[in-house]
Amino acid sequence: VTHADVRELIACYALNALDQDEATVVREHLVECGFCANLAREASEVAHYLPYAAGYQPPPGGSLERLLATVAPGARAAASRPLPGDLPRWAGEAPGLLNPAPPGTRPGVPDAVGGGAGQRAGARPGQPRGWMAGLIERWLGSLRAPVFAPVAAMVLVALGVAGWNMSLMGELRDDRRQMSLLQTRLAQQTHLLVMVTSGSAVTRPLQGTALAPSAELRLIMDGESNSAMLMAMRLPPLPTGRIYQVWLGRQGARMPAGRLVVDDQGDGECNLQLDSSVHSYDSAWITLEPAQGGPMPNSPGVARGVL
Amino acid sequence: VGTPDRLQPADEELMHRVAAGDNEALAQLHQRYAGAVYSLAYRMLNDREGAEELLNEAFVRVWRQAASFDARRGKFSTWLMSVARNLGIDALRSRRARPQRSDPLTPDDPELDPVDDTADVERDVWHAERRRLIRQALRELPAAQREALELAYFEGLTQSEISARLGDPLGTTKTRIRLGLQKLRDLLLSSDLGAEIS
Repeated sequence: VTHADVRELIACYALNALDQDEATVVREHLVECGFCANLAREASEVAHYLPYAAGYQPPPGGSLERLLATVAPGARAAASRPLPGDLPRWAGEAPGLLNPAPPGTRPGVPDAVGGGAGQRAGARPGQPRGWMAGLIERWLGSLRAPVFAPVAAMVLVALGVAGWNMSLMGELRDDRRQMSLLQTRLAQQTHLLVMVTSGSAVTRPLQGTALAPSAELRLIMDGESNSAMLMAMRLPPLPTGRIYQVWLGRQGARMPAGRLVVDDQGDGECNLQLDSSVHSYDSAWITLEPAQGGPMPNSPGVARGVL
Repeated sequence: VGTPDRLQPADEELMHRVAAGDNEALAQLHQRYAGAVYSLAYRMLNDREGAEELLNEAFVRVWRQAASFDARRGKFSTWLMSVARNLGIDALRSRRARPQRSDPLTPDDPELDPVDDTADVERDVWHAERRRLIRQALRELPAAQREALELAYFEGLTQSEISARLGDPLGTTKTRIRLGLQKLRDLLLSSDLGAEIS
Protein backbone atom coordinates (compact mmCIF):
# COMPACT_ATOMS: atom_id res chain seq x y z
CA VAL A 1 0.00 0.00 0.00
CA THR A 2 1.50 3.30 -1.01
CA HIS A 3 1.40 6.58 0.81
CA ALA A 4 -0.86 7.97 -1.95
CA ASP A 5 -3.29 5.05 -1.56
CA VAL A 6 -3.70 5.78 2.12
CA ARG A 7 -4.15 9.49 1.56
CA GLU A 8 -7.04 8.68 -0.76
CA LEU A 9 -8.67 6.64 2.00
CA ILE A 10 -8.20 9.02 4.91
CA ALA A 11 -11.44 10.95 4.40
CA CYS A 12 -13.45 7.71 4.33
CA TYR A 13 -11.53 6.53 7.39
CA ALA A 14 -12.54 9.68 9.26
CA LEU A 15 -16.16 9.05 8.30
CA ASN A 16 -15.95 5.39 9.32
CA ALA A 17 -16.83 4.53 5.73
CA LEU A 18 -14.17 1.93 5.06
CA ASP A 19 -14.50 -1.81 5.09
CA GLN A 20 -12.75 -3.54 7.98
CA ASP A 21 -9.65 -4.53 6.01
CA GLU A 22 -9.13 -1.07 4.55
CA ALA A 23 -9.61 0.54 7.94
CA THR A 24 -6.95 -1.73 9.40
CA VAL A 25 -4.50 -0.79 6.65
CA VAL A 26 -5.05 2.91 7.27
CA ARG A 27 -4.83 2.56 11.03
CA GLU A 28 -1.50 0.77 10.82
CA HIS A 29 -0.16 3.36 8.42
CA LEU A 30 -1.17 6.23 10.69
CA VAL A 31 0.88 4.79 13.52
CA GLU A 32 4.01 5.11 11.40
CA CYS A 33 3.28 8.22 9.35
CA GLY A 34 2.98 11.53 11.16
CA PHE A 35 2.03 13.39 7.99
CA CYS A 36 -0.97 11.16 7.28
CA ALA A 37 -1.88 11.09 10.97
CA ASN A 38 -2.17 14.85 10.83
CA LEU A 39 -4.36 14.63 7.73
CA ALA A 40 -6.56 12.11 9.52
CA ARG A 41 -6.86 14.39 12.53
CA GLU A 42 -7.93 17.28 10.31
CA ALA A 43 -10.47 15.11 8.50
CA SER A 44 -11.87 13.85 11.79
CA GLU A 45 -12.24 17.38 13.07
CA VAL A 46 -14.47 18.25 10.14
CA ALA A 47 -16.41 15.01 10.41
CA HIS A 48 -17.22 15.90 14.02
CA TYR A 49 -19.25 18.87 12.79
CA LEU A 50 -21.45 16.79 10.52
CA PRO A 51 -23.97 15.73 13.20
CA TYR A 52 -24.99 19.36 13.46
CA ALA A 53 -26.02 19.33 9.80
CA ALA A 54 -29.05 17.25 10.77
CA GLY A 55 -32.23 19.33 10.87
CA TYR A 56 -33.24 20.13 14.41
CA GLN A 57 -35.76 17.78 15.96
CA PRO A 58 -36.87 18.47 19.52
CA PRO A 59 -36.36 15.40 21.70
CA PRO A 60 -39.59 13.70 22.75
CA GLY A 61 -41.17 14.71 26.04
CA GLY A 62 -40.29 12.41 28.91
CA SER A 63 -36.94 11.35 27.47
CA LEU A 64 -35.07 12.61 30.53
CA GLU A 65 -37.44 10.84 32.91
CA ARG A 66 -37.01 7.66 30.90
CA LEU A 67 -33.23 7.94 31.10
CA LEU A 68 -33.25 8.56 34.83
CA ALA A 69 -35.55 5.60 35.32
CA THR A 70 -33.20 3.44 33.25
CA VAL A 71 -30.15 4.33 35.28
CA ALA A 72 -31.90 4.53 38.65
CA PRO A 73 -30.66 1.24 40.19
CA GLY A 74 -27.09 2.10 39.18
CA ALA A 75 -27.54 5.60 40.52
CA ARG A 76 -28.40 4.29 43.97
CA ALA A 77 -25.58 1.78 43.90
CA ALA A 78 -23.03 4.36 42.81
CA ALA A 79 -24.19 6.93 45.33
CA SER A 80 -22.95 5.01 48.33
CA ARG A 81 -21.14 8.15 49.47
CA PRO A 82 -23.74 10.89 49.97
CA LEU A 83 -23.06 13.95 47.86
CA PRO A 84 -23.41 17.45 49.27
CA GLY A 85 -27.04 18.45 49.26
CA ASP A 86 -28.30 14.88 49.24
CA LEU A 87 -31.41 14.35 51.26
CA PRO A 88 -31.18 11.74 53.98
CA ARG A 89 -32.49 8.39 52.94
CA TRP A 90 -35.91 7.64 54.21
CA ALA A 91 -36.33 4.90 56.73
CA GLY A 92 -38.24 2.64 54.37
CA GLU A 93 -35.01 1.97 52.48
CA ALA A 94 -33.33 0.49 55.50
CA PRO A 95 -33.97 -3.24 55.60
CA GLY A 96 -35.46 -4.75 58.68
CA LEU A 97 -37.12 -1.65 60.11
CA LEU A 98 -40.49 -2.27 58.61
CA ASN A 99 -41.80 -5.70 57.92
CA PRO A 100 -45.25 -5.43 56.45
CA ALA A 101 -47.56 -8.30 56.98
CA PRO A 102 -47.85 -10.84 54.18
CA PRO A 103 -50.50 -10.09 51.59
CA GLY A 104 -54.00 -10.78 52.80
CA THR A 105 -53.18 -10.52 56.50
CA ARG A 106 -53.19 -7.63 58.91
CA PRO A 107 -51.13 -7.39 62.04
CA GLY A 108 -53.04 -7.50 65.28
CA VAL A 109 -54.00 -4.23 66.91
CA PRO A 110 -53.44 -3.77 70.63
CA ASP A 111 -56.67 -2.97 72.36
CA ALA A 112 -55.07 -0.85 75.00
CA VAL A 113 -51.80 0.96 75.41
CA GLY A 114 -51.53 -0.25 78.96
CA GLY A 115 -51.55 -3.89 78.01
CA GLY A 116 -48.05 -4.48 79.37
CA ALA A 117 -44.85 -5.55 77.66
CA GLY A 118 -45.43 -7.90 74.82
CA GLN A 119 -49.11 -8.01 75.50
CA ARG A 120 -51.02 -8.05 72.27
CA ALA A 121 -54.63 -8.42 71.45
CA GLY A 122 -55.96 -9.88 68.24
CA ALA A 123 -57.65 -7.77 65.62
CA ARG A 124 -61.17 -6.86 66.39
CA PRO A 125 -63.67 -8.33 63.97
CA GLY A 126 -65.47 -5.67 61.99
CA GLN A 127 -62.87 -3.01 62.79
CA PRO A 128 -60.30 -3.13 60.04
CA ARG A 129 -57.33 -0.94 60.88
CA GLY A 130 -54.30 0.03 58.83
CA TRP A 131 -51.30 -2.14 59.62
CA MET A 132 -49.20 0.98 60.01
CA ALA A 133 -51.59 2.30 62.66
CA GLY A 134 -51.41 -1.08 64.34
CA LEU A 135 -47.66 -1.02 64.42
CA ILE A 136 -47.57 2.46 65.85
CA GLU A 137 -50.03 1.59 68.56
CA ARG A 138 -48.10 -1.56 69.39
CA TRP A 139 -44.87 0.39 69.59
CA LEU A 140 -46.54 2.99 71.74
CA GLY A 141 -47.53 0.19 74.06
CA SER A 142 -44.00 -1.16 74.13
CA LEU A 143 -42.66 2.24 75.17
CA ARG A 144 -43.70 1.34 78.69
CA ALA A 145 -41.37 -1.61 78.75
CA PRO A 146 -37.91 -0.48 79.90
CA VAL A 147 -36.11 -2.95 77.61
CA PHE A 148 -37.96 -2.04 74.42
CA ALA A 149 -38.54 1.62 75.07
CA PRO A 150 -35.31 2.89 73.44
CA VAL A 151 -35.84 0.66 70.39
CA ALA A 152 -39.45 1.72 70.04
CA ALA A 153 -38.49 5.35 70.39
CA MET A 154 -35.88 5.00 67.66
CA VAL A 155 -38.39 3.32 65.41
CA LEU A 156 -40.85 6.14 66.00
CA VAL A 157 -38.18 8.70 65.17
CA ALA A 158 -37.32 6.74 62.03
CA LEU A 159 -40.99 6.67 61.05
CA GLY A 160 -41.21 10.40 61.57
CA VAL A 161 -38.16 10.99 59.40
CA ALA A 162 -39.60 8.66 56.79
CA GLY A 163 -42.85 10.58 56.70
CA TRP A 164 -41.03 13.88 56.50
CA ASN A 165 -38.85 12.59 53.68
CA MET A 166 -41.81 11.26 51.75
CA SER A 167 -43.43 14.64 52.01
CA LEU A 168 -40.24 16.35 50.82
CA MET A 169 -39.91 13.90 47.94
CA GLY A 170 -43.46 14.67 46.89
CA GLU A 171 -42.72 18.39 46.92
CA LEU A 172 -39.54 17.83 44.95
CA ARG A 173 -41.42 15.83 42.35
CA ASP A 174 -43.97 18.62 42.00
CA ASP A 175 -41.25 21.26 41.72
CA ARG A 176 -39.39 19.21 39.20
CA ARG A 177 -42.50 18.74 37.11
CA GLN A 178 -43.21 22.47 37.24
CA MET A 179 -39.60 23.23 36.33
CA SER A 180 -39.77 20.80 33.43
CA LEU A 181 -42.87 22.56 32.08
CA LEU A 182 -41.20 25.95 32.37
CA GLN A 183 -38.03 24.65 30.72
CA THR A 184 -40.09 23.24 27.88
CA ARG A 185 -41.76 26.58 27.31
CA LEU A 186 -38.49 28.41 27.46
CA ALA A 187 -36.90 26.04 24.99
CA GLN A 188 -39.87 26.39 22.64
CA GLN A 189 -39.64 30.16 22.82
CA THR A 190 -35.90 30.06 22.19
CA HIS A 191 -36.44 27.87 19.17
CA LEU A 192 -39.12 30.28 18.02
CA LEU A 193 -36.74 33.20 18.40
CA VAL A 194 -34.04 31.41 16.43
CA MET A 195 -36.52 30.63 13.65
CA VAL A 196 -37.96 34.12 13.45
CA THR A 197 -34.50 35.65 13.20
CA SER A 198 -33.14 33.12 10.70
CA GLY A 199 -34.04 35.27 7.70
CA SER A 200 -35.52 32.34 5.81
CA ALA A 201 -38.68 32.06 7.92
CA VAL A 202 -42.12 33.13 6.77
CA THR A 203 -45.10 33.78 9.01
CA ARG A 204 -48.76 33.05 8.32
CA PRO A 205 -51.67 34.11 10.56
CA LEU A 206 -54.39 31.68 11.59
CA GLN A 207 -57.87 33.04 12.21
CA GLY A 208 -59.80 32.14 15.36
CA THR A 209 -63.28 30.79 14.63
CA ALA A 210 -66.48 31.65 16.53
CA LEU A 211 -65.22 29.29 19.28
CA ALA A 212 -62.12 31.44 19.82
CA PRO A 213 -62.87 34.89 18.44
CA SER A 214 -60.13 36.70 20.37
CA ALA A 215 -57.38 34.18 19.72
CA GLU A 216 -54.28 35.27 17.85
CA LEU A 217 -52.18 32.61 16.17
CA ARG A 218 -49.11 32.66 13.95
CA LEU A 219 -47.52 29.78 12.09
CA ILE A 220 -43.80 30.30 11.47
CA MET A 221 -42.26 28.15 8.76
CA ASP A 222 -38.56 27.88 7.99
CA GLY A 223 -37.62 26.20 4.73
CA GLU A 224 -33.91 26.15 5.56
CA SER A 225 -34.26 23.94 8.60
CA ASN A 226 -37.57 22.46 7.35
CA SER A 227 -39.28 23.19 10.60
CA ALA A 228 -42.42 24.98 11.72
CA MET A 229 -43.75 26.37 14.96
CA LEU A 230 -47.12 27.58 16.07
CA MET A 231 -47.49 30.49 18.46
CA ALA A 232 -50.87 31.07 20.08
CA MET A 233 -52.32 33.74 22.33
CA ARG A 234 -55.65 34.01 24.10
CA LEU A 235 -57.11 30.64 23.21
CA PRO A 236 -60.06 29.70 25.44
CA PRO A 237 -59.28 27.59 28.54
CA LEU A 238 -59.26 23.88 27.79
CA PRO A 239 -62.10 21.75 29.17
CA THR A 240 -60.90 18.85 31.32
CA GLY A 241 -59.72 15.89 29.28
CA ARG A 242 -59.39 17.84 26.05
CA ILE A 243 -56.39 19.10 24.10
CA TYR A 244 -55.72 21.48 21.28
CA GLN A 245 -54.50 19.53 18.29
CA VAL A 246 -52.79 21.08 15.29
CA TRP A 247 -53.39 19.75 11.77
CA LEU A 248 -51.62 20.54 8.53
CA GLY A 249 -53.39 20.14 5.21
CA ARG A 250 -52.10 19.27 1.78
CA GLN A 251 -54.36 18.89 -1.25
CA GLY A 252 -57.40 18.05 0.83
CA ALA A 253 -55.64 15.63 3.18
CA ARG A 254 -55.12 16.51 6.85
CA MET A 255 -52.24 15.32 8.96
CA PRO A 256 -51.84 15.60 12.76
CA ALA A 257 -48.91 17.91 13.38
CA GLY A 258 -48.71 18.19 17.14
CA ARG A 259 -50.41 19.11 20.36
CA LEU A 260 -50.58 22.70 21.50
CA VAL A 261 -50.25 23.17 25.25
CA VAL A 262 -51.50 26.52 26.55
CA ASP A 263 -51.19 28.17 29.94
CA ASP A 264 -53.91 29.80 32.03
CA GLN A 265 -53.93 32.79 29.72
CA GLY A 266 -54.44 30.59 26.66
CA ASP A 267 -50.89 31.28 25.44
CA GLY A 268 -48.55 28.60 24.16
CA GLU A 269 -46.16 27.46 21.46
CA CYS A 270 -45.33 24.12 19.86
CA ASN A 271 -42.99 22.62 17.31
CA LEU A 272 -44.90 21.03 14.48
CA GLN A 273 -44.12 17.58 13.22
CA LEU A 274 -43.75 17.53 9.44
CA ASP A 275 -43.90 14.56 7.12
CA SER A 276 -42.43 16.42 4.16
CA SER A 277 -41.25 19.85 3.06
CA VAL A 278 -42.67 22.62 5.19
CA HIS A 279 -43.72 24.48 2.08
CA SER A 280 -45.75 21.55 0.76
CA TYR A 281 -48.65 22.29 3.11
CA ASP A 282 -51.47 24.58 2.03
CA SER A 283 -53.56 24.95 5.19
CA ALA A 284 -53.59 24.57 8.98
CA TRP A 285 -56.29 23.98 11.63
CA ILE A 286 -56.54 23.72 15.35
CA THR A 287 -59.27 21.59 16.84
CA LEU A 288 -60.39 20.56 20.29
CA GLU A 289 -59.83 16.82 20.71
CA PRO A 290 -59.95 14.15 23.42
CA ALA A 291 -56.74 13.92 25.44
CA GLN A 292 -55.43 10.95 23.48
CA GLY A 293 -55.73 12.83 20.18
CA GLY A 294 -56.64 11.00 17.03
CA PRO A 295 -55.74 10.44 13.40
CA MET A 296 -58.57 12.63 12.14
CA PRO A 297 -60.21 15.75 13.55
CA ASN A 298 -63.56 15.10 15.23
CA SER A 299 -64.58 18.52 16.41
CA PRO A 300 -65.12 21.97 14.99
CA GLY A 301 -61.96 23.98 14.61
CA VAL A 302 -61.01 26.81 16.93
CA ALA A 303 -58.69 28.35 14.34
CA ARG A 304 -57.71 27.89 10.73
CA GLY A 305 -55.64 29.50 8.05
CA VAL A 306 -54.35 29.25 4.50
CA LEU A 307 -50.57 28.88 4.20
CA VAL B 1 -19.99 31.82 17.07
CA GLY B 2 -18.79 32.03 20.64
CA THR B 3 -19.25 29.39 23.25
CA PRO B 4 -21.95 28.65 25.80
CA ASP B 5 -22.01 30.35 29.14
CA ARG B 6 -18.79 29.66 31.00
CA LEU B 7 -20.56 30.12 34.32
CA GLN B 8 -22.28 26.81 33.69
CA PRO B 9 -20.28 23.74 34.69
CA ALA B 10 -18.22 22.44 31.78
CA ASP B 11 -19.25 19.18 30.15
CA GLU B 12 -16.11 17.52 31.37
CA GLU B 13 -16.82 18.57 34.95
CA LEU B 14 -20.31 17.15 34.66
CA MET B 15 -18.86 13.90 33.32
CA HIS B 16 -16.62 13.74 36.36
CA ARG B 17 -19.70 14.03 38.55
CA VAL B 18 -21.57 11.47 36.48
CA ALA B 19 -18.70 9.06 37.05
CA ALA B 20 -19.26 9.55 40.79
CA GLY B 21 -22.90 8.55 40.40
CA ASP B 22 -24.48 12.01 40.25
CA ASN B 23 -27.61 11.68 38.15
CA GLU B 24 -28.33 15.41 38.38
CA ALA B 25 -25.15 15.94 36.35
CA LEU B 26 -26.40 13.34 33.89
CA ALA B 27 -29.67 15.27 33.64
CA GLN B 28 -27.76 18.47 32.87
CA LEU B 29 -25.81 16.81 30.08
CA HIS B 30 -29.04 15.40 28.74
CA GLN B 31 -30.61 18.84 28.73
CA ARG B 32 -27.64 20.20 26.83
CA TYR B 33 -27.33 17.53 24.19
CA ALA B 34 -30.58 15.59 23.91
CA GLY B 35 -31.69 17.81 21.02
CA ALA B 36 -28.48 17.31 19.07
CA VAL B 37 -28.41 13.55 19.67
CA TYR B 38 -32.09 13.09 18.86
CA SER B 39 -31.76 15.20 15.70
CA LEU B 40 -28.82 13.10 14.53
CA ALA B 41 -30.64 9.87 15.39
CA TYR B 42 -33.76 10.98 13.58
CA ARG B 43 -31.75 12.07 10.54
CA MET B 44 -30.08 8.66 10.42
CA LEU B 45 -33.02 6.42 11.20
CA ASN B 46 -35.93 8.49 9.90
CA ASP B 47 -38.03 6.91 12.60
CA ARG B 48 -39.13 8.56 15.84
CA GLU B 49 -39.32 5.40 17.91
CA GLY B 50 -35.87 4.27 16.83
CA ALA B 51 -34.46 7.73 17.38
CA GLU B 52 -35.91 7.88 20.89
CA GLU B 53 -34.44 4.46 21.64
CA LEU B 54 -31.06 5.60 20.38
CA LEU B 55 -31.23 8.80 22.43
CA ASN B 56 -31.83 6.81 25.58
CA GLU B 57 -29.11 4.28 24.82
CA ALA B 58 -26.55 6.99 24.06
CA PHE B 59 -27.08 8.58 27.47
CA VAL B 60 -27.14 5.22 29.22
CA ARG B 61 -23.65 4.77 27.79
CA VAL B 62 -22.68 8.19 29.08
CA TRP B 63 -23.76 6.97 32.51
CA ARG B 64 -22.00 3.65 32.28
CA GLN B 65 -18.81 4.78 30.58
CA ALA B 66 -18.31 8.12 32.34
CA ALA B 67 -15.47 6.75 34.42
CA SER B 68 -13.50 5.78 31.32
CA PHE B 69 -14.09 9.09 29.53
CA ASP B 70 -10.80 10.94 29.14
CA ALA B 71 -11.18 14.65 28.40
CA ARG B 72 -7.57 14.81 27.20
CA ARG B 73 -8.51 12.66 24.22
CA GLY B 74 -11.30 14.91 23.02
CA LYS B 75 -14.33 16.96 23.87
CA PHE B 76 -17.35 15.37 25.49
CA SER B 77 -19.65 16.57 22.69
CA THR B 78 -17.45 14.88 20.08
CA TRP B 79 -17.38 11.68 22.06
CA LEU B 80 -21.13 11.70 22.64
CA MET B 81 -21.96 12.32 18.99
CA SER B 82 -19.60 9.50 18.00
CA VAL B 83 -21.38 7.19 20.41
CA ALA B 84 -24.73 8.24 18.95
CA ARG B 85 -23.57 7.87 15.38
CA ASN B 86 -22.09 4.43 16.00
CA LEU B 87 -25.37 3.34 17.55
CA GLY B 88 -27.14 4.74 14.48
CA ILE B 89 -24.83 2.87 12.12
CA ASP B 90 -25.39 -0.35 14.05
CA ALA B 91 -29.15 0.14 13.80
CA LEU B 92 -28.99 0.91 10.09
CA ARG B 93 -26.75 -2.04 9.32
CA SER B 94 -29.01 -4.30 11.32
CA ARG B 95 -31.99 -3.02 9.33
CA ARG B 96 -30.17 -3.54 6.06
CA ALA B 97 -29.48 -7.12 7.05
CA ARG B 98 -33.23 -7.65 7.27
CA PRO B 99 -35.51 -7.72 4.20
CA GLN B 100 -35.92 -4.22 2.82
CA ARG B 101 -39.23 -2.42 2.76
CA SER B 102 -40.58 -1.88 -0.72
CA ASP B 103 -41.73 1.63 0.06
CA PRO B 104 -39.29 4.42 0.79
CA LEU B 105 -38.86 5.27 4.43
CA THR B 106 -41.00 8.13 5.55
CA PRO B 107 -41.25 9.65 8.99
CA ASP B 108 -43.56 7.85 11.35
CA ASP B 109 -46.77 9.41 12.46
CA PRO B 110 -45.89 12.42 14.50
CA GLU B 111 -46.19 12.27 18.23
CA LEU B 112 -48.84 14.38 19.82
CA ASP B 113 -46.64 15.87 22.45
CA PRO B 114 -43.37 17.14 21.12
CA VAL B 115 -41.49 18.51 24.08
CA ASP B 116 -38.02 19.94 24.10
CA ASP B 117 -36.23 19.29 27.36
CA THR B 118 -33.36 21.60 26.58
CA ALA B 119 -33.52 24.79 28.54
CA ASP B 120 -30.10 26.38 28.30
CA VAL B 121 -31.02 29.33 26.11
CA GLU B 122 -27.53 30.47 25.31
CA ARG B 123 -26.45 26.97 24.44
CA ASP B 124 -29.54 26.43 22.29
CA VAL B 125 -28.79 29.56 20.31
CA TRP B 126 -25.17 28.48 20.00
CA HIS B 127 -26.24 25.05 18.68
CA ALA B 128 -28.69 26.68 16.27
CA GLU B 129 -26.05 29.02 14.91
CA ARG B 130 -23.55 26.20 14.55
CA ARG B 131 -26.19 24.15 12.74
CA ARG B 132 -26.90 27.02 10.38
CA LEU B 133 -23.23 27.52 9.52
CA ILE B 134 -22.63 23.84 8.86
CA ARG B 135 -25.72 23.46 6.72
CA GLN B 136 -24.73 26.54 4.79
CA ALA B 137 -21.23 25.15 4.20
CA LEU B 138 -22.67 21.83 3.04
CA ARG B 139 -24.93 23.63 0.60
CA GLU B 140 -21.91 25.21 -0.98
CA LEU B 141 -20.38 21.85 -1.84
CA PRO B 142 -20.94 20.39 -5.31
CA ALA B 143 -24.07 18.22 -5.10
CA ALA B 144 -22.22 14.97 -5.85
CA GLN B 145 -19.69 15.58 -3.07
CA ARG B 146 -22.42 16.54 -0.60
CA GLU B 147 -24.44 13.45 -1.45
CA ALA B 148 -21.45 11.16 -0.99
CA LEU B 149 -20.64 12.73 2.38
CA GLU B 150 -24.23 12.48 3.58
CA LEU B 151 -24.53 8.84 2.54
CA ALA B 152 -21.33 8.06 4.41
CA TYR B 153 -22.14 10.02 7.54
CA PHE B 154 -25.88 9.77 7.98
CA GLU B 155 -26.60 6.44 6.34
CA GLY B 156 -23.44 4.73 7.52
CA LEU B 157 -22.58 3.42 4.07
CA THR B 158 -19.04 2.38 3.23
CA GLN B 159 -17.35 3.82 0.17
CA SER B 160 -18.07 0.59 -1.73
CA GLU B 161 -21.74 0.76 -0.80
CA ILE B 162 -21.94 4.41 -1.82
CA SER B 163 -20.31 3.57 -5.11
CA ALA B 164 -22.86 0.81 -5.72
CA ARG B 165 -25.77 2.99 -4.60
CA LEU B 166 -24.84 5.83 -6.92
CA GLY B 167 -23.58 3.67 -9.75
CA ASP B 168 -20.21 5.44 -9.78
CA PRO B 169 -16.76 3.87 -10.01
CA LEU B 170 -15.18 3.34 -6.60
CA GLY B 171 -12.35 5.72 -7.42
CA THR B 172 -14.83 8.49 -8.19
CA THR B 173 -16.57 7.96 -4.86
CA LYS B 174 -13.27 8.06 -2.93
CA THR B 175 -12.28 11.27 -4.66
CA ARG B 176 -15.64 12.90 -4.04
CA ILE B 177 -15.52 12.11 -0.36
CA ARG B 178 -11.94 13.31 -0.03
CA LEU B 179 -12.55 16.54 -1.94
CA GLY B 180 -15.88 17.11 -0.21
CA LEU B 181 -14.41 16.80 3.25
CA GLN B 182 -11.45 19.00 2.31
CA LYS B 183 -13.72 21.69 0.87
CA LEU B 184 -15.99 21.50 3.87
CA ARG B 185 -13.00 22.08 6.12
CA ASP B 186 -11.97 25.11 4.07
CA LEU B 187 -15.50 26.53 4.22
CA LEU B 188 -15.76 26.02 7.97
CA LEU B 189 -12.33 27.53 8.51
CA SER B 190 -13.43 30.66 6.71
CA SER B 191 -16.71 30.81 8.64
CA ASP B 192 -17.33 31.89 12.22
CA LEU B 193 -16.47 28.36 13.24
CA GLY B 194 -12.90 28.83 11.99
CA ALA B 195 -11.60 29.79 15.40
CA GLU B 196 -12.70 26.43 16.80
CA ILE B 197 -10.85 24.47 14.13
CA SER B 198 -7.12 24.43 14.45
